[in-house]
Amino acid sequence: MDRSIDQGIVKLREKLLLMGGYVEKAIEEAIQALLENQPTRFEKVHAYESKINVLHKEVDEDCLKFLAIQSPLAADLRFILAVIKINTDLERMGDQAVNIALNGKEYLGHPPLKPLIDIPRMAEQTQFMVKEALDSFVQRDLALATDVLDRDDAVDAMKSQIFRELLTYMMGDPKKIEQSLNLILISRNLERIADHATNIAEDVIFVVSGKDVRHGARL
Amino acid sequence: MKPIVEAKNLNAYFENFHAVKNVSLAVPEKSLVALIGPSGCGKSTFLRCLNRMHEEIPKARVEGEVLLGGSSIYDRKLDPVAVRRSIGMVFQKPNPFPGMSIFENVVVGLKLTGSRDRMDQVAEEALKGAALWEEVKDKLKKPGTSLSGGQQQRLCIARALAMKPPVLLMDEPTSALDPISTAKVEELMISLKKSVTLIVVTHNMQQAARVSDRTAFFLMGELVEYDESSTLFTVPKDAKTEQYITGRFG
Repeated sequence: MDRSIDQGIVKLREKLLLMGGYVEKAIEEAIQALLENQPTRFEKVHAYESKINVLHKEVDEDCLKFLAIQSPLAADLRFILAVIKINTDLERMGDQAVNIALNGKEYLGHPPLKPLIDIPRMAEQTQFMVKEALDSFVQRDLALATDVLDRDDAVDAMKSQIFRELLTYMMGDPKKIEQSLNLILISRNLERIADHATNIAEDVIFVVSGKDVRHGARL
Repeated sequence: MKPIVEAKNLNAYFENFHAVKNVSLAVPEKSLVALIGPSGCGKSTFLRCLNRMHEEIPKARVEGEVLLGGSSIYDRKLDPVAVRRSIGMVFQKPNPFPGMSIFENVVVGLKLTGSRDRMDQVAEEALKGAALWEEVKDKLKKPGTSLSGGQQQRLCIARALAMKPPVLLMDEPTSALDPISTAKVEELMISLKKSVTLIVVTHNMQQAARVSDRTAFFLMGELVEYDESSTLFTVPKDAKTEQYITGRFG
């Protein structure tokens, strides 16, 4: 049976995916601008972020109406709760892409500190997690969502490793502090993005199974 | 919590039609249990078995047990009318007795059972319990039917409360009421829980989610799921419950 509530669900899912697409592009542009030394591409990140912000407000408004009109229950209720939370996560991911762009612009404004090896690896992992989290949402796929959770530790470890390495640069030469800090901040931004992807995956698990796996609880 | 009403392997029939199939369900004292399910699922029949109303229908019969405070209400020595004094009932449509004043409507049960002492006091308490006292205290001699629909329903609740039943059954008590009256009756249900155990049949899922402590979902005469309402309406265990409360059938 087609329910009137389903139309609202489909629309919200599509809008959230559109937003997720912009988030992926914003991260991609920020990272590629940094790695390819193309500062003009940072502008695109801001353009995507504006689009994300518009959708952020729209999705909130749509959720408010959906709740008021449909009074959802059970899976529908879990879905709308997840959409509200994923909406916030996506918006923050957009902000973090902008932060990468700002820190990246600073970094490219000075001579390079060192060849970038770990940052691209970390970016790749993070982007994969974002894509996988969004796919798990569309496909309501528990295995994909669980895989996102499993990957988060590796990204956290990379952040710590990058920090340790850059700490040696900073201790060795105070003139390298500013550039090192820019890279540390970028790794921090990536790590935050991975955390938001993890949040999304946790929300997907809640929608599909009704289980709350946050803060260490497992399926 | 200890159960006050307990159905054990309860079956109800209308001649050959098996309307309630082997239902066991325990209702904790001073709580509110909602019975939900599509039309014809047996929830109202089940409710009517709990105060021996079902057997009033020709060719209807009941098998199994219903315990009130541990004793069977189907005990042969018991008078069904006495059972209904302990387990009151409020119906879908407000049914104040025509030709009787508001006051007479509330105390009619007392008069019929011969306990005519302190009738003024009992009426006031019952009307206060039904959150109607403030609205009617100056017109107790007016006909019960002169009240609005929502007030009439609360009058019927007051009439039931006057008998001081430990358990009150309600069969879709707000389905004929407007939203404001519905909200008042819902508030009343929540406050009544302090002193009375309530078992309520409702077609309004949001109402069940709002007011009940536990919810039982019936389908085709069977009890599919019975759980804390906060669980049943957010993470139901049975796929059929999920489908029903999200409007996929029914």
